[in-house]
Amino acid sequence: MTQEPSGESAIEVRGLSYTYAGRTSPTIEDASFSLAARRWTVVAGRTGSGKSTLLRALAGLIPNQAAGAMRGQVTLFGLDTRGAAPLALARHVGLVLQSPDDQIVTTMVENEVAFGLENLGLPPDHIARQVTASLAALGLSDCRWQGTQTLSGGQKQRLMLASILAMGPRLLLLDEPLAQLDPAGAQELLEELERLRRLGLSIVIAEHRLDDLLPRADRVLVLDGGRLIADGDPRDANVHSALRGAGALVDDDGAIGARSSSRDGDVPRRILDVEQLACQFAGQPKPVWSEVSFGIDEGERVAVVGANGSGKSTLLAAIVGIVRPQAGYMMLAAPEAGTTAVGLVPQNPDLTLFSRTVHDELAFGPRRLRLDAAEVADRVHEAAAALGNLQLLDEPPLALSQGQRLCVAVAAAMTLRPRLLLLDEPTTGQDQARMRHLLATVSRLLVASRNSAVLFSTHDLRVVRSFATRALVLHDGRLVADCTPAELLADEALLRRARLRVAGHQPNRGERGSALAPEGGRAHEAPR
Amino acid sequence: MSIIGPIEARQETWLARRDPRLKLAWLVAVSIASVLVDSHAALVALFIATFVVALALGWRPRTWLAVGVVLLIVAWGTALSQAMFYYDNRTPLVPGLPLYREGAVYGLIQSLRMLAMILAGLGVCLSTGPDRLLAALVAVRVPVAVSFMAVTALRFLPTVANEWAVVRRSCRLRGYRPRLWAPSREGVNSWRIEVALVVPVVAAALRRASTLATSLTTRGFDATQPRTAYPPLAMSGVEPWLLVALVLATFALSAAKSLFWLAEAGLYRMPALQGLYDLASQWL
Repeated sequence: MTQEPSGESAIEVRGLSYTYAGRTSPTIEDASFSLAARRWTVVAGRTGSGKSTLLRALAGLIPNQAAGAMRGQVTLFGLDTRGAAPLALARHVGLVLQSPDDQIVTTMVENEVAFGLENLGLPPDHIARQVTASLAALGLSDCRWQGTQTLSGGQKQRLMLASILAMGPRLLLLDEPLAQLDPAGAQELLEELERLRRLGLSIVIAEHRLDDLLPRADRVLVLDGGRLIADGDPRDANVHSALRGAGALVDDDGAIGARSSSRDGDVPRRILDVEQLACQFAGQPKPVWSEVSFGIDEGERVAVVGANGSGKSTLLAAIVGIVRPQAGYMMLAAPEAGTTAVGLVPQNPDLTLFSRTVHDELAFGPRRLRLDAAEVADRVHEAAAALGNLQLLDEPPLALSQGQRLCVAVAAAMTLRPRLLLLDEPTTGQDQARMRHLLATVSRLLVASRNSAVLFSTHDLRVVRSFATRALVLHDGRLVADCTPAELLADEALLRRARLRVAGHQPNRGERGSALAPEGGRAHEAPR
Repeated sequence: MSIIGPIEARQETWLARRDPRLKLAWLVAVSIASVLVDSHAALVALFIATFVVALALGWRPRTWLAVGVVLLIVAWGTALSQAMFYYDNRTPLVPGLPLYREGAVYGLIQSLRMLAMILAGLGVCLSTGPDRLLAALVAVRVPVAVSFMAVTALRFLPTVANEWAVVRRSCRLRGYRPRLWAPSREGVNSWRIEVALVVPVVAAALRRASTLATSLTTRGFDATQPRTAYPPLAMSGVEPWLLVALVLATFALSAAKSLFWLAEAGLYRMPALQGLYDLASQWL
């Protein structure tokens, strides 16, 4: 069944402003727009531009579940969200957030889909039918009796979608749903959303990965500093210009940082040797990976790439000893005086921040190495200079913005000058500008640390192209390629096999390294 | 996947698949019994019963290891405190130290009360999915707000534990080596660092709680509203009989002890119940 978009209004927003409690300036300021039903709308803007706040207002969480001050009005299918009961709103609108792990309530797939329906007080036989239909629609029927924690990242995101869709909303709001998905998983999710839109669902999606989204969107709302600066067709030259002006689209300037892989005139020394490594979790039928062998020399920036669930993070965890491999061996070069062998920044960098100030955070490691006070001060100053903001030193680390926290976590790890720095998905959820800023910061820290090597996991080919000197590709439990980024990006068959690119999908700007489509030009596929 | 790694799937045994209301009844029965019984034989029997049930739940060796550590700490703590403060017919364990053998033995016996309850409680929590546990608690009229908070805490416990492991590992990679009984070189005691390490775990938990609350609200969760249990709880086969047996046994035990205490206190005594009084005196 295909229904063409109609002119029926799904959302009416009039003069919406919202200021969070404890803040003086509004996060959303005087936004007015209306969205027709059965359309696909993209909300674009840099991190902190107010996208998530706007989605929360559209979901009725603001003002009903928030302590800040709201002005203006939001109407969903004729229902004013102010004072509306959560149950009444839940029947109209569903919200899917970035991290499915934090939204999953139950331990079994079937029960997760049923959760919302139980809240609606529907009879069990009706719930059973809805659960069956939703799981089938999202391709999760085979997982019905599985534990939710056994699903891959992409499956969890689809499970959240199934849970929301089972409740029969007319409007679906998605807050950065692609952030944690590999390219193939993202394409599959977008195709599913496209199918749902054709069946009559209205979709509003806030996302950084605009290359995948803009070709499908009917409309784009561009936010900059909380203000709605553009609202129109994604193929419109003015909208494109606004996207670039707001930092939602960034020119790709190519490689980030110097790529020297050896000291001047010296043969680079080996930092890590991995031979025939294998890892299998208890209770799992297959190993995460096996027969993994590679080496890393000083100065290298090695990307571990692969689809969700391919074992990238597990490989990093094995190197630092969080996970114990069942076979093979690893040899790490002994650290020189005043340095360490390995540094780690996990996917959630906040887990490494515990000091009262950024200064203490940066000084923590060097002090543990028993360096003298002058050397500690030098390293802190060096790291702060790489961060590019000396004013941060007196701030509590956990009070900084998300991007700043990540940079501080990397800098804190680098003050020990580890021979090998491990970064687990460092660019996940970052907009393009912040991603490039982070990688530039890492580059400066690498220069300061004198030939450390970096091993980082990612499924973002833009990061591989602009930052890595080598790529290791994990797929189906094996290390299937160890090559240069250029070789990887040229091997279409390998990229598809490893779910890093989808058949028929054109590489985006970051992967190609080309400039943005010229203004006024049609950067994407023809409009529907 | 994060660097934390996946949580392992649990293989369920026959006993672990039983109706969660039956498991709750078991927990309540064990709790009542562990408070009521006083004889050493009954306490040992109660502990053995909970131990056998825990064995039948099919825990993994590492789960047993963790449970064993908890049980040992409880038994050790109770025995030690009783060994220190026992005042009747006491024999020093070690000359010169105020620790007494009779107190230690008494403490070990008394610790069986707590060990039985711990085994029964862990047995219920570790063998029942939070969603089923929630349905069972709601079915026995525990307020949704209370039961939901409890089962959600259980659901996220492994995540918090794994995050704590990442925090500690990251810290060790930055050169930290706990020296809990000696100040470090720069004068910062390791205890202060240990306390500080809790901060990122708590911060992550708060962020997660905020996300979860948002998700719950948009999915229509309202603790004040009635909700359906899906799939509906239904006992089958031997389960109703086991439930009846548990209820009757708990009731019989409570009645026997109550009558015994009334007789002991001289408040109510029936000669016809002398056999019951003797049984309660000797075995309960």
